[in-house]
Amino acid sequence: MNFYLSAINLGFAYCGMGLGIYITLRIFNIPDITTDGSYTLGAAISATLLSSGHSPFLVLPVVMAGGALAGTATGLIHTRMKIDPLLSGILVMTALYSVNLSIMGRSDIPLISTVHITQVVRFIGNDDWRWMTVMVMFTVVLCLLTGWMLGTDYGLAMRATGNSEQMVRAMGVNTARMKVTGLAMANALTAVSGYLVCQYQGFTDINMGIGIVIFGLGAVMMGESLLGFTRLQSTGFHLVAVILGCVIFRVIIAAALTAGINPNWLKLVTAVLVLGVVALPGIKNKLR
Amino acid sequence: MVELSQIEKYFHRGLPGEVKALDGVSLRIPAREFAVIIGFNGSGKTTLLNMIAGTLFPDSGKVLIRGHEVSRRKDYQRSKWISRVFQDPMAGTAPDLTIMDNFRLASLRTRSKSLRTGVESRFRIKVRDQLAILGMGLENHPETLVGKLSGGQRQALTLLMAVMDEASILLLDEPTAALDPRSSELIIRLAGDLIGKLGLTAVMVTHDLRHAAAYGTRLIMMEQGKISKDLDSGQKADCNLASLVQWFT
Repeated sequence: MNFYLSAINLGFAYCGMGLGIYITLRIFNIPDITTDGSYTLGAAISATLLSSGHSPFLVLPVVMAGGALAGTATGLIHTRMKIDPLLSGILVMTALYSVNLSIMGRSDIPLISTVHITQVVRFIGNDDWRWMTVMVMFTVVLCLLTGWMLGTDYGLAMRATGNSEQMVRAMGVNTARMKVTGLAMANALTAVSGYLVCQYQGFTDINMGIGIVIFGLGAVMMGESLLGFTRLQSTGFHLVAVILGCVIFRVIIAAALTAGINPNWLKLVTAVLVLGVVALPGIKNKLR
Repeated sequence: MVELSQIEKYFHRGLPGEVKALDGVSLRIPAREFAVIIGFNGSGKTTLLNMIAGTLFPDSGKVLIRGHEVSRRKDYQRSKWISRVFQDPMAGTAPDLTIMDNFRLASLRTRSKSLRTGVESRFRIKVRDQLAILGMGLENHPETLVGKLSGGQRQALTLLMAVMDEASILLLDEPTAALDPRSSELIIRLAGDLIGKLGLTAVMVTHDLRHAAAYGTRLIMMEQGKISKDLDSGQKADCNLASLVQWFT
């Protein structure tokens, strides 16, 4: 049971990234590969600062700023140099590998005896439930913040930017700046996931972000296919679906592991799973 | 209101396929004029419209709007004067937003998009009244996602949205080209009504000569990047559909 509890915890930890991918993928139609790098960036900054004794509360804004900077880089490369967003993301992700390595100074940092964010709920006796409380708190706050932002006038303009750039420009919106801001927000959210996961698993590894974007894309799409069974369509429900997608995806992976799948095959399983989620609607249509 | 002087615009300049899309065009459109532009494909009509909108910049010459020189100002910097209706009926509205949210965005065309949420009930009533003009029943479903509507309905929304915020210049780029005959009539009539009622300055590019004959206070014909005919309202009144068809043969 504990095994599944930690899968659920990890699912919640990934919600920041899920929300970030929702913004880039569903609002701007950009599969943002920067995610792999900004997630690790979040973890790298966290591990470096936490292990040198800084408070987790002070580390969080630094982590978010770092993620936002990474997203801004991708956004500027895409909008200023007119480079394909996919390629822009790959470029920044690749560059971030070196950045992360130089922040950390080595390829992994253990966080054994450092102070965690869970200290805010140290009155809870059980470690798993302490984490659960923290993860849910973060998820709720990030979800509410994102939902609120997307509901504002600014958020309306952002949502419309991915729909019809021509129209939004005619409404007086600088769509290039809007994309840069959106990518910055998304990667700040992603970095929060790095912040949470590194503390939860107790270490940061330079390779921990490899392929994480696939998990995020899969989680967003899985959430959407769940939403497809209902008639709910408002942005709030979309965000809740993203969170469900993150948690369910993690639980499926945990189930695959308990079923005896070699951990070496984990990325393959993830990729096949995402392929399944993406291909499902098309297959369903063909069968009809 | 709008003034173009000696506008030149090349496409693929210096390359084998060089095209001179606008060849020293000068044009003054005073306030409250409804200018209709017709011409062959490739004659420079849409390029001319895009010069006013700011989606294209002239290679030489000046664009003035209300006395401000805007030759190098981008389209989103001109939105305080200009509202637009596009040829693609899907391009003027955001499909993933509700009708109400689309109107909210349109009502902020001349202002900055802040972190305010929600709309006032007064605004809702105003939007419903606007929607009721269309007679499509949309006023009863303002929370419908725009993506679920037809092209004709969406073009009608685009037109209403274009005049939500203090509009002064309305640009219409073949607004009925992609619509069925009935929607096409509805859109052109709505456009004519709104322009007249609100006293807008309007420029419409069209291939529909019936619309060109029936609407507008000025008729401009373009050929090979130049204005070849320019009729004021008096001359235009003497001109019927048959004579317009003659121009194209």
